[in-house]
Amino acid sequence: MGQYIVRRLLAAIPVVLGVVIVVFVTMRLIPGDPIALQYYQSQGVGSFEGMVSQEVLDVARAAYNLDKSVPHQLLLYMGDLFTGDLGDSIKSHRPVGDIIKDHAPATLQLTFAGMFVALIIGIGAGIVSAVKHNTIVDYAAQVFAVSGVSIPTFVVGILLLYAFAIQLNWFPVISNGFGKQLVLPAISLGVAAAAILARLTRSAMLDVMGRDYIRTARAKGLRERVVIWGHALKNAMIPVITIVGLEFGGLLAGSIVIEVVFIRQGLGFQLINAISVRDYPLVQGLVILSAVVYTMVNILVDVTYTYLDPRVRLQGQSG
Amino acid sequence: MRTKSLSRRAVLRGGAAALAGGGAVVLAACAGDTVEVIKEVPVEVIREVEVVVAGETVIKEVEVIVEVVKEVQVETIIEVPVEVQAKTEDSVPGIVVDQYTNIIPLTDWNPVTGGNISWGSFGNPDGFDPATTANGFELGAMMETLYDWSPGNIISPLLASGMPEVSDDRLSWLIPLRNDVKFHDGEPWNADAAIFNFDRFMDEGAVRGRVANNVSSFSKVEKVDEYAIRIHTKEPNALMIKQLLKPFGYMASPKAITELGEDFQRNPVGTGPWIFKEWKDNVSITMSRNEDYAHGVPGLRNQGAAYADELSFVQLSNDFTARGLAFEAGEVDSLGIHFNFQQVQRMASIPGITSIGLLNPGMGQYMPLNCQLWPTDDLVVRQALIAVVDRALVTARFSGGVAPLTFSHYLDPGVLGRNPEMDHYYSWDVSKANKLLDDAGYAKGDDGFRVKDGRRMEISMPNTGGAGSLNAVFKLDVEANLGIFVDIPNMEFSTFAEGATNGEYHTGYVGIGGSDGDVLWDRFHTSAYGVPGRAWSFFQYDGVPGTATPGSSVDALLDGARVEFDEAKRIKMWQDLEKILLENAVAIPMVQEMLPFLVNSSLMGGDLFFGATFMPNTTNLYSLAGDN
Repeated sequence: MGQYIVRRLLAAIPVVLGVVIVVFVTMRLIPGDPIALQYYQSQGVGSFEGMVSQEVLDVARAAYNLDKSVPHQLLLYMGDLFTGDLGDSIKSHRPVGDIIKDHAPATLQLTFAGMFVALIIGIGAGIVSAVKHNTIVDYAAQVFAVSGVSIPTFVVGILLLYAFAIQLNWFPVISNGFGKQLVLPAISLGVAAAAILARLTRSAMLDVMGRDYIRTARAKGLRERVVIWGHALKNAMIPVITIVGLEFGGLLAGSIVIEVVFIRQGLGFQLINAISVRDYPLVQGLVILSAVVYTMVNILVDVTYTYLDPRVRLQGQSG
Repeated sequence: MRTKSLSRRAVLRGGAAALAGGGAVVLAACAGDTVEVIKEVPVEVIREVEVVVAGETVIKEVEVIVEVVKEVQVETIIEVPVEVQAKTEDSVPGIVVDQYTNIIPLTDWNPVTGGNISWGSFGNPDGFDPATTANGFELGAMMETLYDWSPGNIISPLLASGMPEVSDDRLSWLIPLRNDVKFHDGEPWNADAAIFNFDRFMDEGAVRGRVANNVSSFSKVEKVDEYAIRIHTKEPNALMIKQLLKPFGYMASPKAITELGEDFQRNPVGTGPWIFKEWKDNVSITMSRNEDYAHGVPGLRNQGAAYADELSFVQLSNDFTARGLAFEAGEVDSLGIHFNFQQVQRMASIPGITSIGLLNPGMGQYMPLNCQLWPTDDLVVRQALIAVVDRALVTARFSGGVAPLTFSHYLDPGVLGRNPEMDHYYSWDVSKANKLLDDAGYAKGDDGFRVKDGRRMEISMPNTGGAGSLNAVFKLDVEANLGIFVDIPNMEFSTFAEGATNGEYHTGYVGIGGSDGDVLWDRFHTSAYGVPGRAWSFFQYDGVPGTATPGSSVDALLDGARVEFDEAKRIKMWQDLEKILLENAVAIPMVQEMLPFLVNSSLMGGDLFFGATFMPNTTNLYSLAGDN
């Protein structure tokens, strides 16, 4: 197993390097001068006279190596990256590493809380739906699942805010923090994933419930609760675990929208702002972080999968 | 024959009547002192001519002449601030429309000490070093400039102790400084501190913020004595005072900058009414009251320390729906929202919320027309576009139908240099617009769109999200009423900004604020073509500054006004400039710029005063919610 994990980690290195290069080059291909935007981002409506000259812009550009060719910039960036330096944000002048350190907790809290909501509601609804197959409970769970997938998360978020923050005043709109500030964002984020997990769990459970070993278990006189929780669920969870891993990446991405709606200052919020002002070092740092996290979660899922399903482990060993 | 003269008063005295004319609206009048003055008064003189006829004296003829005599009069001085733009609040239920330059009372004046006042903001600041920042918003609460705006559009000394005096050669300015001010760290404010700051602003080798523009004409700043400096300029700068006003050019503690180095960005030390306390990145910036503050802006009720214990700038989302919900839930006391007047109008109906439309003087909001791309390279096409656009319809959703419309000016009412001769140069006239194009050979095709030389008339107006509905209505209006196809490519602002700077699109929707005709410099000086954030309109231009036509005459007037010390001549130059720009139809004037602002009057009271920027004076506001 250890050898397998090391091999997967080594294989992840070129993936992350590829992401670095793609993001680095892409940011420089899209229009928008990061230096100029620092000075006149608000130069639309509501701006004031008195812009700086080209010479002032050039000095600032040189300070961030943006006066050099793209390959030259990439080499310099890679050099810094191997020493663990992600560069300084053009907008805030702060080290990107510090910004990530400050804002990662808000996003991770939200992602894990969203995942928690998704697992509890999704798997719970899926099991109930399968056990109460073709009953009103099943139909209700399916309506929830279809609605959860269909309604955009930001709409769910705004509706929750209007109901529970504006009308009932139970939760704050500005959702920075861990306690009750996390409840509405987590529900908004987790609902869509819960809907997917509910549908998947339901179909996996229905599939498993029809298998011979379940009939055998029932024939042995085991109680239905033991049959479901002890025999059916573990096997039904194998495809669900795979999706949970993928959904984690989805939740990480989905947190961007939720952070904007709930004014939660996490990495997603940072990324939106950084892209809008072309803060190259910050965008690069955040995307690299995202790639690393996503790769690691996939490795973790694969490892968990081999643990849950001995057939995968055997194939891996024979291969 | 002898003559004697009798005189009687002629009703020839003017003055007040003239002030009341011209559409000006008197806002307030306050009686002041009485003084004796010697005046030359025109009087009618009746000359009686006595003629003796047959021993009898009779008045033969009467002659009336006008003479000027000197007399001593006792006059009462009455200050009559005259608002340049008629207030429209009566026509807009629920929304108070007023100028940046006026005081807006939020509640009856009944100051409460203590508590917290909060300001919904968005976009993390780029740091608090006045030499490098491009955003002076929050900084304005903690640091101060040499001069500031007072109510009524008056410039007053703030860290200076008097107005600047220019030398005979007009190349240096003597500025006296206050001798009773200390920085928050206890260091004295004096000439050395001022020079330390100006030297940083003028360091051309360093990364600098927008203050670099303020000091671009400075050559040296030297100490005259402990509390006076002299600023030397490379060339005469008639607009010097504007370079010393906020929102840039804030004075910071030299000791703090020296000791903290890069960390000063996040630990600012100034002289202002608020002392920096804490900056939670992207969450909030909190400041505490400067108890020693005693040199506030003249003309406001409170020039001393602020009333609230703390001032918070709460960093909200870029999404205006989220911002609005946070405000509606009472989580911030006040909020400035760009781009969404519908929200302001909706909130105007909520009890306790004051919705304000702040008229920002300057160029207003306008649509620049690219004078180099076909078909807007044709003056007739540009003139037709100016005539055809239904401003009320196009801007209805964007500015709520509240902002005053503009048709024939690039400078707002009250902005120095607005040319009254041009009041009726353009008007909304759809027939005239179509006739212009018909006469110029732009014929309508079968599909309703005009064609010339086999080429369909088409203009591009990118949608950057903020004014999406405006773009759509503009498209409907122009396509239906003029027969020009309007392409609306969607893109984010950063992409649009680069393309607009490079002259890739026909038009957009922009605005800019400023107090005089120099506001046109950024947008029309030919040296600004291709410089990000500057020119949005392009004359026929061959790439060599000063050689364009009519760009060269525009440059001459813009540059000339900057070095002209005679205000009347300077204003005349800007008026001539506005005339040239209008004659060349370089942009479609749309509305006066009106920025929405919301205050929860149950949480915050006092007088709201902005001066000339979007950063309000906070010492005349107080918390009504205790420790909210």
